[in-house]
Amino acid sequence: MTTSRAGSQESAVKVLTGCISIVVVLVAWQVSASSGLVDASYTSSPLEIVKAAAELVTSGELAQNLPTTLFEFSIGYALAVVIGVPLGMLMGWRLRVRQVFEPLLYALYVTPSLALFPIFVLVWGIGTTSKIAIVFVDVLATVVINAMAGVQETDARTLRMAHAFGAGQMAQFWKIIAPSAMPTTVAGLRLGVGRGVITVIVAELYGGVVGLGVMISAYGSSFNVPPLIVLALLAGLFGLIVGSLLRRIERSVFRWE
Amino acid sequence: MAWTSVISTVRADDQGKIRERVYAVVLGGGLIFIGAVAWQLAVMAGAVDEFLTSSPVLVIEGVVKQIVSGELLVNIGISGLEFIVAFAVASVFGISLGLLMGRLRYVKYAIEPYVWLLYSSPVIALFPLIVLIFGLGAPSVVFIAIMLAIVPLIVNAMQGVDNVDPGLIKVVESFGGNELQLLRKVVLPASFPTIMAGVRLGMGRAVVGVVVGELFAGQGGIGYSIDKYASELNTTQVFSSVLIVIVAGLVLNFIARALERASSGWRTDL
Repeated sequence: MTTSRAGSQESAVKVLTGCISIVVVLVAWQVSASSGLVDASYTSSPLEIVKAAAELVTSGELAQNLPTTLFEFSIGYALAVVIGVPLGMLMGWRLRVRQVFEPLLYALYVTPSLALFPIFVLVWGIGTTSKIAIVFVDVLATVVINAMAGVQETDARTLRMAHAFGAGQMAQFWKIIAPSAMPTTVAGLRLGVGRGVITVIVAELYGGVVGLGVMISAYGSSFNVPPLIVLALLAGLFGLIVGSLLRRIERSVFRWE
Repeated sequence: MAWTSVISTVRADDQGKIRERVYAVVLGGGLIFIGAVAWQLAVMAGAVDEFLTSSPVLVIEGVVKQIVSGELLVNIGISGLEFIVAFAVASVFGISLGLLMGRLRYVKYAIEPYVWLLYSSPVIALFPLIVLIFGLGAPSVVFIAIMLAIVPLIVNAMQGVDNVDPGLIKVVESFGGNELQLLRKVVLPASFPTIMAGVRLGMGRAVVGVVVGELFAGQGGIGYSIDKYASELNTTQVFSSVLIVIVAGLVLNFIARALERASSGWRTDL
């Protein structure tokens, strides 16, 4: 009991210190901006940022652009998961399959996938298709590599036992390999969300018609800083929230781990 | 003669290993080779437009052209320098900050929220602001790369310190060791492998920062030339430059993994 009380006290200290730190930074930022200590046209100020956020919401500009970004992200991400998880598991399970795809995926994994985006633009134009493709490519490598690692972590003794008791290949896969690969696979899905969100926005920034990245690009080229910061923060918070949601799901589902 | 004696000493399990190596190269290389051949044939048969898709032969010729004209050397020089500066700065600041956060929990609690925000934010989205402050070109690119690379360096150094055996720390403290001695004798050696894993991740993110930063804010380098050739609709040179980026990524990843392995080997000697 004492340890759990100490633990909850510690996490209260953690949250409190974090909040104090955020408040201090925001106040210092506001004061230095409004007193003219730093040039507010560069740094903006928290109040201006809140005002810009309200304006983006009430003007309907956000509502106009957000769905496109979410659509591009969701389709690209879903495709990467649907193809990546089975492919990764198969690669972890079957050596020959792994040997076929590993070099290509490895090259994809260590390359900044956004470097491929200009090619996608040349092929598919600056519409949604090229964004879906880049999110797909970026998330795919992460998902495949984690699913593969998950399968490879399967306890060999459990597999031998299943084999000894006459379990067939399919039974071994569905009853032992797939379940034990789940935690690592889901961790890959979580990492993929963060990467995918950043990728879709940067891709839109490079070239797009509608979307958050396009808004950022427009505000950036007119040096209108407050909405620029609002949008960057929004993207960061989205990644942070979805990431911690998935982490929570991971913890409650895989508690037995 | 020497060769035959070497071969005859190869044992059966080594032969198995060699066979596996051959399989890996043939199967993995086979997919890439078949893909390249299909691409080349499709272009030659006129099934796809060469102007849009280029072709493997043209791409290789493009790389050779970049080598001969010296363009490749200049680009690697610019991007390489940006990478080295960004990675060095990120390492020094990131690891120091991470160690400090690991040792002082209030510092950790106060700074952690910003680290996670930095991790999940598209730093590149702020490039208009960054360019406004640092100007177009290398300084902006270096700044973007630092912001990307620093996160895993901080987080891993912090976790490395967190995982140090508290008993060891207590021993040093009760024998009157000061913070510096504690750092040198216990904390750094014990957290070194975790820090090196962070170094590997940080290197990867620094590459992303340099290439993507150049795409938006560069005035030279490999990322910049991808963007330049794309705006000229020079598909072949875009592919050639991307191929160079892939090779650079593989080489750097190889170096980072070797460093990481060396560091964990060093630990087992301890």
